[in-house]
Amino acid sequence: MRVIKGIVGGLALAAALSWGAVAAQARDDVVLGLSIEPSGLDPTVAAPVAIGQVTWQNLFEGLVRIDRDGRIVPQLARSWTISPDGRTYTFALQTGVRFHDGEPFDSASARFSLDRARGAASTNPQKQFFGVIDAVETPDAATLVVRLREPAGNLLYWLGWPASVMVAPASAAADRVTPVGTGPFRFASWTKGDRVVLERNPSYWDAARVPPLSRLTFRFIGDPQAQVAALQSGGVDAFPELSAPELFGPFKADPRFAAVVGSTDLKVVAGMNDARKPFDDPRVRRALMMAVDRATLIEGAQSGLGQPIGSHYAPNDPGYIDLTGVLPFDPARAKALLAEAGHADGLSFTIKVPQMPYAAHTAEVLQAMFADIGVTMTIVPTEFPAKWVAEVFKDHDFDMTVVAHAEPLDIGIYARPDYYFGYRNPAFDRTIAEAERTTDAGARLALYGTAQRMLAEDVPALYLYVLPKLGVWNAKLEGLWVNEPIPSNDLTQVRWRE
Amino acid sequence: MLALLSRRLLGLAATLLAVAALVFAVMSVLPGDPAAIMLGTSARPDTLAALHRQMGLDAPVPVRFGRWLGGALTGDFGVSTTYGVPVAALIAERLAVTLPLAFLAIALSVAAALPLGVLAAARRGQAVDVLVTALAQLGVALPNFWLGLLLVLTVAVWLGWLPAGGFPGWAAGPGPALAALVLPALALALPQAGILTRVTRTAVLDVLEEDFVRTARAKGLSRRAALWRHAVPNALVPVVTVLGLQFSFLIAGSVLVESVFGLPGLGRLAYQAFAQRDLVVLQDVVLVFAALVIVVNFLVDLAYLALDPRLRARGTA
Repeated sequence: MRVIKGIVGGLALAAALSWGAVAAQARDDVVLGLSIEPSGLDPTVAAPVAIGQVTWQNLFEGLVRIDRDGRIVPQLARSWTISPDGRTYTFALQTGVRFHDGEPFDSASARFSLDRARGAASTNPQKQFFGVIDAVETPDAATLVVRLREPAGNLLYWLGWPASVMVAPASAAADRVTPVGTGPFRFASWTKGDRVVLERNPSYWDAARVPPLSRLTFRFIGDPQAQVAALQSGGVDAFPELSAPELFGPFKADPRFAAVVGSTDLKVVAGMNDARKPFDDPRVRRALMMAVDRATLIEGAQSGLGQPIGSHYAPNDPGYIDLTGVLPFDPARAKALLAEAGHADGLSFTIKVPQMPYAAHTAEVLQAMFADIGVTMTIVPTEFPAKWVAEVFKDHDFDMTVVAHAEPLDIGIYARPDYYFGYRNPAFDRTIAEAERTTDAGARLALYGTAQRMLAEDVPALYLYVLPKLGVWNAKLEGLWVNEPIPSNDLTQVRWRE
Repeated sequence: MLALLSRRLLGLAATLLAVAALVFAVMSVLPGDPAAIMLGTSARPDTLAALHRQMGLDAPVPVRFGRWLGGALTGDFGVSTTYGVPVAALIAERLAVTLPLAFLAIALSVAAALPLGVLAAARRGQAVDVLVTALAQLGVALPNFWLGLLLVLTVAVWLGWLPAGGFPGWAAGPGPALAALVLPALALALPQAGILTRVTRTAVLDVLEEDFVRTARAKGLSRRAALWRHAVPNALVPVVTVLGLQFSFLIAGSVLVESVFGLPGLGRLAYQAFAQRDLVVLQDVVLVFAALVIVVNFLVDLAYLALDPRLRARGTA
């Protein structure tokens, strides 16, 4: 009995302590939950999106930024002009900007940042984008001139990405552990495995965008049940991307929370090894696409949350065309196409499936749909990212796989000769190359439209759906992004309603 | 005593070296390149090569093992490839969560299991015994991660008494830190307490049937006195053995329980390091685990000496 009393006493004591902590919390801070902890805090040296989801806009800023509607707006570059041949960009920089350690931001640090990203020792995950830069010049402290080898219509968009943020020469090497940027929040602490804390930068340069909050805490909780528990117990104020769609429903009925379905750029596609039989035959790929009922798939794999896509392009992005009707669900025609391709007796292959729930569920539903047209697909689980990157991405040792592609506007990957799809189409390559050279936005989007159509008809990969952004947050919290035009958590304008 | 100690230390060093070599060998044949994981799917080969050089992954496996071993012998445990910070500091931070968690769990399970086990043995066949045995069976059958979820739902979400997960750090004061450890420790302790209760009950019953207890009772010792003076002290040897074994299970269980509660402990670090193929961290963490288990086994041996005079006599001979 004494033991039980002891436990109860301990619980009561602990409860009193934790309640005290909650009551003392001032409401000019926010605790945000993320499912993945970033590996390092410098988005310019490693790819994981979690790095940008903590630091981008909050701590680091770019020459330009992408706003909540996906538009490019000026940031550390006040304005810019583009030469008529599209090869010289002249940026007028903000003046009076300082990094968190007091170092001034000027054309020299901007040039340093770009040179570091494109240099020989660079490990920038988007280094390919910086390859187009031929030279960076600094006529004066507030002017930056970027000369290109050839026109690059997406340059400004790329400069808005987390991988393109401005860093300071003196502190860049240590940014992985103690990041120093120009943003409205500066680094406070990182308890590895648990949380990162940022605090308000008292000398932030942009008077028009001084953040209402004084403290941001990012907590890392991988287990979906634990995410729900953290929200319901008040330990976390917001989970901008809840991991499990099946746990999202109850929040919609709970007035304490805002449960918001937004869109992302995470395109779930079932990539095929197009260099390998039978996927080298477009008829086989089309047959498989027509065996898929996207609405049922989204219902079964994602509790109905997600937008169907017909090409490698997210509805979020400018120039999107709905192409889900190009190869619609039609099992009879799918069977006929398979027979025409010489597979009247059916077909069997394997799919390598990462452990993420969306991928596993999608593969299971696809397996059932393919079975209806006489195709036997064997599911082989694979560990993401380590094993998947080695086997599928690098060694091209797979028939089919399914994974979400996170980069916005990444349709150009189908023009890369060494990419894992093994897709080769000279007409497509030419269209992409032309689009990338085109500076005029309207003409460029038209070319991306052509590229979208080519993929929708040729289906080098099966285009399934875009993952939803399932945001759950305290109903009194305002200013969080509903959609995610770029993987991020811009908390600079978040506030508590009175 | 000294001979035992030095034999043990030598064994410890050999075991650690073997464990280290094994982990290195397994990780080097496992598919997965930490640099490729860091750089993602847009990485170009030259970027990858640059990162390989930075991480020191361009050297052959035996050379890397030699480098790591040389560093470890001089107290330099290397730098984490994912976090970019020295591993020694990383592990120290995590030990400050996992060790208190393990000790709290052991303390809870001993505090519950010993009295219940002795009680059940003393009242063998009575209602109390049946109840305790059933509870112990239930405790053994419950997986600790499921129990963890249940505790979070009831105590943290519904009652709101304790935090649902996470760890504020010891810097925030012992109160909030301990509050964060109570539920995970309970989740770890209950299944262990179930096992320990059963072992205690059986051990006490075994001793109660020995001749010397009967002799003691025949000489007029009361049932209660025989139990506490003779049966319980003699039953402690098997109980301590199981306790030592349980420590290894607690460490393994901490991987799951730390995930459920979002605790930044050593178990979760090991899991993350594996997923990211952060070889240096994994290597060091496995060594720490191995060392902990070996040290605990050593302490168990010492406890035998304290508990059983016959072993002491043999040790000095």
